Amino acid sequence: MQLIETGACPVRKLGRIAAGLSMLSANLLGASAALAQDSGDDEPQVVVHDLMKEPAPGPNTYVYDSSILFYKESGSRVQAVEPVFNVQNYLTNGSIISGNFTFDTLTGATPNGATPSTSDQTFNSIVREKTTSTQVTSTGASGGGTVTTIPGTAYAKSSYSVPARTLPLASFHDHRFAGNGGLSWLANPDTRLNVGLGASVERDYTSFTANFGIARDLNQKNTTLSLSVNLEEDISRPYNGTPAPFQELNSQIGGGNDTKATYGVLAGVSQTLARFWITQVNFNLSGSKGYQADPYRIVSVVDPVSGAPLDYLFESRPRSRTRESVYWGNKLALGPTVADVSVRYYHDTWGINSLTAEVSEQIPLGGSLYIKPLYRYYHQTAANFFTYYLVNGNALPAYASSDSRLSRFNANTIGGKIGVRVFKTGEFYVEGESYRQTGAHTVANAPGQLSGLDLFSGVHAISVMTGLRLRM
Amino acid sequence: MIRKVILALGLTLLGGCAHVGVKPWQRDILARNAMALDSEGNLSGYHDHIYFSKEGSTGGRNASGGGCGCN
Repeated sequence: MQLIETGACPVRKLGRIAAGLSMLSANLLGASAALAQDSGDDEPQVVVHDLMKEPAPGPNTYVYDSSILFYKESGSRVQAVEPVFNVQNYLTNGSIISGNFTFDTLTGATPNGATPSTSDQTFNSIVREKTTSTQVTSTGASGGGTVTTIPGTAYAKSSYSVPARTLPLASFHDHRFAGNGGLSWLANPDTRLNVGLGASVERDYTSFTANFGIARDLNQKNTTLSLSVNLEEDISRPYNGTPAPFQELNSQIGGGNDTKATYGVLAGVSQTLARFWITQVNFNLSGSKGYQADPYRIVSVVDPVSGAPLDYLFESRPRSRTRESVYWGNKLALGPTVADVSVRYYHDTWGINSLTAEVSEQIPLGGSLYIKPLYRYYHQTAANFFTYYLVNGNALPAYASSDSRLSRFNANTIGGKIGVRVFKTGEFYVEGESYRQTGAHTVANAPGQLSGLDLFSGVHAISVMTGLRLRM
Repeated sequence: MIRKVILALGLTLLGGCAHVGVKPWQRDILARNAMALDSEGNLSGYHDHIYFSKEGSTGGRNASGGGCGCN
């Protein structure tokens, strides 16, 4: 600092410096406001070519995100292709209008719930004839099945076989279309409200959702409290009707459609802890009542001594489920990189407890390219009615399911993303991931042949997601 | 148990919030899109859908997860 070495009046000099500092502060404030984009003016977007320094979308902006997912499970299981188109319009008055459209195509095979066996297995069932072109009729492992019309009825006998020591799979294909729209607006400078509606339609399942939320900024916008309520109504329309709990597979299903109603409340607080760190804590409570079983999934009834399958019954699940979770997420700017670190603990009344931890690091490679390695760990305990099989001669429990999603397992996701600046305000991105579930492959004290068979049906999946996000 | 932990955490956070944070002119880094709590757009939806259809848990970051017959 050289305040007094010249002949100029020190007081005048200090005044000029003060004026200069004021202008500098004003410029910095102006730049901050432009970056924050929350002033509600309709100035054009600040174009920042550095991807990692691009500001959040501001007023008078459209953001288009078009992407596609390719998903494939090993062992000739599920394959999915899912294009998604998302648009958000940020209006000059602070409102945001959004729309999202999804189209899924699913093909492949999924475990039918039966245990493997040391002998070939044949699965016979009664199906509605009009549905046999889309419903489970064969397995990838066996290479095909048969459907035989029952004369004078609307039903047919379906039969498919699975080789010995093979996880029984049932093939399927389906499409899903989903769309949802939302509106968010400022009730006052510190309070934002939002509403949303959505629908998802599959051949055998329809879901409607609605949500309402409020967010309130406090403490110079360093703290945000939020509360949202979600409602969902699902209609299950199984191809062959809804089976009764523990109904035999090889029997005519009398049940029609069934429904499930879900409510959810999410309360959260986000807090700026420092210039480089924002954190968020959410508590989520939801409850579901209605049909929550898988209408195509069965459970093997095995011989108590040999372990051989004697019969196959449709599964049974409780009609009520309450879920609670707490989530802690963080965004940390560490030098030029941005880290995303989160943990979630989950508990539900079916007996599942889970822990999820995710970490990713967005690393710039020059101004127009970044990479983002990511890792996710997941562990869950089993639902209290999960079982690989039922033992013949024992009393039936109230509920039983062999769905691996209700079993005890760990899952690890390893992946990475690359983002590239395209055009002036666009980003092209590709993300690849490997998702692998691991768990116990055998059961202690399993009867006979089952002690030597691999009962775990967890998945290993590879997914690739790519898309283009444009800001205009 | 979860509710008690959340209540305690929430009260602690709220109690300390008034003394924590940044001034408006210090928001340059926080205002970046990369620092948004959910900056992944469509990719977040894909992740939620995959995990919802393959695991027994859902929720947390947001209330999504339902809306299909995949679980």
